[in-house]
Amino acid sequence: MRSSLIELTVNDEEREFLVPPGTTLLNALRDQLGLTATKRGCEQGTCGTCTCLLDGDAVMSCLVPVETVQGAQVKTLEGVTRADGSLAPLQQAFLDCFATQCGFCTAGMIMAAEALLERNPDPSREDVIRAISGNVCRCTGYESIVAAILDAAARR
Amino acid sequence: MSLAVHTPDSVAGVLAALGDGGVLIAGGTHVMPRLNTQASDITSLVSLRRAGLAGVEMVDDATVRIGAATTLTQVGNAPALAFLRPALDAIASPTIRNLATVGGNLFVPQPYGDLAVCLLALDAKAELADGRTVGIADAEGLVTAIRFAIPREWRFRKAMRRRLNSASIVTVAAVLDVPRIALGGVARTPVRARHAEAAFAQGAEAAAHAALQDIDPFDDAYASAWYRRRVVPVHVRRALLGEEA
Repeated sequence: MRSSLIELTVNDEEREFLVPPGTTLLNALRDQLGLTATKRGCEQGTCGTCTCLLDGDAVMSCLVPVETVQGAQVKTLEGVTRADGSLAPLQQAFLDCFATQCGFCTAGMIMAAEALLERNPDPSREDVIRAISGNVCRCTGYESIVAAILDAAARR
Repeated sequence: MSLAVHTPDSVAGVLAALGDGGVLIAGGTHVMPRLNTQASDITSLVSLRRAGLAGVEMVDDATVRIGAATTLTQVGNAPALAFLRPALDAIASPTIRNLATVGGNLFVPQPYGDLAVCLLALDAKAELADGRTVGIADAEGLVTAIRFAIPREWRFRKAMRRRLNSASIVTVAAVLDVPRIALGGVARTPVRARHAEAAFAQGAEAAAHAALQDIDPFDDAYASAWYRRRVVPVHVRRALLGEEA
């Protein structure tokens, strides 16, 4: 089966690349574009660590065949980091609030939070819990993550 | 794995690709987990993403039509469908609802498919690509849209293991003024609770007990059949009375 040419705007940059048929958005980001902040976890849409923004919406990138989203805008954790390499307020808040332990869920958590804060700059605690309800963390007990997202909202 | 992925830009294109042996994929929240993690003989996926089937419109003052590829998030954002928000919020997580579609929800196995339970209670009709319009329970092939009348007295309740992002132990959806009652989590498909509907004239308590004749529950990781049977009357009664959790 022939590879397909994919065109996406990833983190505000136009990218063209070839993928084998059936490649997920997750694998395209990691394997074709080298954007490995987005993590491969359960590949069933259960863990949320592959969360990135697709045309502004937080989605599980393991569930999206990349050939079905030609021309889309994609944002990953790499695109949250500022152009000069410094941390965005959301990332800094995760650091300051000890919201990261092993780190495996962090990219997905931040992207779910990014989608929330773009639509709702002043979320309630309940809004935050809802926004990350598809993202599993086995270390922190979530409390520090919720605190970090609320803290980031206050900083932004 | 050798997998062709088609993204036709019309219903005719979708049908043509399906005719060549393709498997339909809308949001991908049900198809992709299987594809990613299990051996599969699927050789072709046919995506609805560009087929023009997304959107919510009012057909008249009281009737709404939802394109089959409309996401659950889009459904929840439609002002006329605000009554469905509690049900939608109880389905998976926002990251799944941004992908999962109305049409897809009709075909996921129980104990998933809470929106399908709602649609059954709403006596929704499915418009099929072959031109037929059928009841929700008879939907097959390519569904292009769902339509139903906005209810006057709506009830919804879902018992789950966690407050968010968990499948159904018991789901109850009801249009009281008819009455029409549908149950989820209690059989292999969503069920119309005909016995409960008939008994509702004698009150919520009578309907709640009659609902036991409507169910055929199963064991799964969320609850045992025994437990589901035990709590069905409780949740049916609370739903019909509009009691808070």
